[in-house]
Amino acid sequence: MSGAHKLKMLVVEDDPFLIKFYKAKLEKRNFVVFCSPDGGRALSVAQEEKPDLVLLDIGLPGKSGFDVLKELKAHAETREIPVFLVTKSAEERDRKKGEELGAEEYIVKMEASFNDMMQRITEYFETSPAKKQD
Amino acid sequence: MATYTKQDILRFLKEQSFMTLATVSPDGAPHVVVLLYAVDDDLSIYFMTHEDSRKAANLSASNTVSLVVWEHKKMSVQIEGTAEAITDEQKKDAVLGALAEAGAKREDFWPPIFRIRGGAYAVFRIKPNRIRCLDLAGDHMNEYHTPFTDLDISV
Repeated sequence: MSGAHKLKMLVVEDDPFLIKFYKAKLEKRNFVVFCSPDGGRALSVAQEEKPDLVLLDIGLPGKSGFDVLKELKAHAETREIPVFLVTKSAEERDRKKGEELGAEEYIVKMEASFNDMMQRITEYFETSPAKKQD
Repeated sequence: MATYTKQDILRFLKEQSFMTLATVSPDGAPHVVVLLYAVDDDLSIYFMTHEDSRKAANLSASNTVSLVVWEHKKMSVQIEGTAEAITDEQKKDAVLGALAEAGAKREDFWPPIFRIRGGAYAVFRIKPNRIRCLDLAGDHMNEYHTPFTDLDISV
């Protein structure tokens, strides 16, 4: 994740502090960050900005994270964008549902620090170089 | 012995991210916590907590607080003041942004507040009425010189 190309990240999170915290941390890591506090706006931002990765909370007001994931994976123009679900839920059924809907990763907020999450992101791009080159 | 100015103290407080904050319970018991904070140019201190937290309950009974921010071999700043809840949504949002920036300065800091369930966020501003600073930078403390700077906050 080095070089001149800045990766674009879309953060979908309704916690008003956490979304700002992600943005500040990710910008320090040289990402271009777009934020959405709800699912509806997330879909339009994803279509407009074509981020390299989406960090998606599940428990969102209105459209849930699962709904957003389903729609992202249903549209040809957003289907290839990797989605990391970042959630409070450690329930196995939610993890399974995320996997079935096409999420690339499932991260439990209570179990992973920011650096743990960054490591998963780095590993993802290192093992999926084609996605980074888009 | 260093005598610190308002600007020295402000610079130090902006470099740091965490404070130790004491509130008082309705029955007079002290309650001390370590918290993320942000500071503005007037030396007002901002912090967030959950609405259902013990410190929020304490502050609704008594808004008198005392806090310290320190770094070994540098400085210790003691502040006494009063805390007021910020209810204006726009201001609250700006404070959350400042707190996020303060937390993001620290590598691998992952705020414990994400792991604590306690309702919506409450945001407070502490208006200092006393600021006292201790020089920890050198080995020059002695019985003839006070190591403290009492900042005149009226200017």
